[in-house]
Amino acid sequence: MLFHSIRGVPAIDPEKCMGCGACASKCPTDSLTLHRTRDSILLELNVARCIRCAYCAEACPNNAITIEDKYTVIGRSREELAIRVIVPLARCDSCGEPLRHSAREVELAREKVPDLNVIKLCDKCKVKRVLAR
Amino acid sequence: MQTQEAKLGTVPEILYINSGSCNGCDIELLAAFVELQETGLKFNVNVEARKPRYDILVITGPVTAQSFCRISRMLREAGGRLEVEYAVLLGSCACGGGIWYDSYATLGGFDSFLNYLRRVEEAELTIRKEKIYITGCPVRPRDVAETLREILEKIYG
Ligand code: SF4
Ligand code: SF4
Repeated sequence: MLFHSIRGVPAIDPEKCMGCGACASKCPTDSLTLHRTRDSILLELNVARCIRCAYCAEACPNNAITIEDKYTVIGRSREELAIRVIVPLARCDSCGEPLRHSAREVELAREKVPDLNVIKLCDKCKVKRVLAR
Repeated sequence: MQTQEAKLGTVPEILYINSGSCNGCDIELLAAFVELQETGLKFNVNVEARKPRYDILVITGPVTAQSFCRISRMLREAGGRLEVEYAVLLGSCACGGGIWYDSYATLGGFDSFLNYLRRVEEAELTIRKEKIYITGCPVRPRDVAETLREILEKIYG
């Protein structure tokens, strides 16, 4: 290749993404969308619409998005051109119900602030604990 | 190529529609045509539909409201029914609406255009074989040339 590409398709590292949605809110074309299911967060990248602006890579707090050295993607359907990353939600320590934030967000918070006391409880269990006091 | 052309009896016809693109993809398409010339594969490029069937439809742009009126009028004037064997969508705009996907002034890409056409107009556009999305903003001439070459080779057999 004559020129090294400075723009390219974003690649999401499923090991690093914590489903915070910063990329989705920065994306000018809404190619990145965040969907919530009961026990996970689904981050979807619609490569067909993406304009390779790299705003998402800039926004990601965990550097989960890297710009690949690949610019063109050719597909036969939009389904084929979609990239999906599933991030599991954290679970309540007491009843096991899924919480609102992902397990990786909790891990990261614990890593960054070691003496932070993260309470992993769902709303119901929090109320129960307060009432039991 | 002479024998192949004789076998086919005709030259593949490309219908090229600019549905309100910024001209980025259009310029890359011209560069791709130049590159295609070097392969020796012959083809005709039309910017207006005058008959009911074309081999390849190349479309750029997110289909703006203005160009929607223009394209549907062109389709009606061509008899209301247009059949293409292959549709090649160039760029993020045609593939998914691009940065204008939810603008009031565009229909948000070729797929939504087809839906609108089915609902609003009497005109019909049928893709017989394949729809190919070439993404990028703009597309790269080499990828366009490669894709068109593959299609032309399929047509030539
Ligand atoms: S590169 Fe730009 S358009 Fe593509 S997903 Fe990232 S922010 Fe969205
Ligand atoms: S890719 Fe980065 S910014 Fe986007 S949801 Fe995952 S962690 Fe957040």
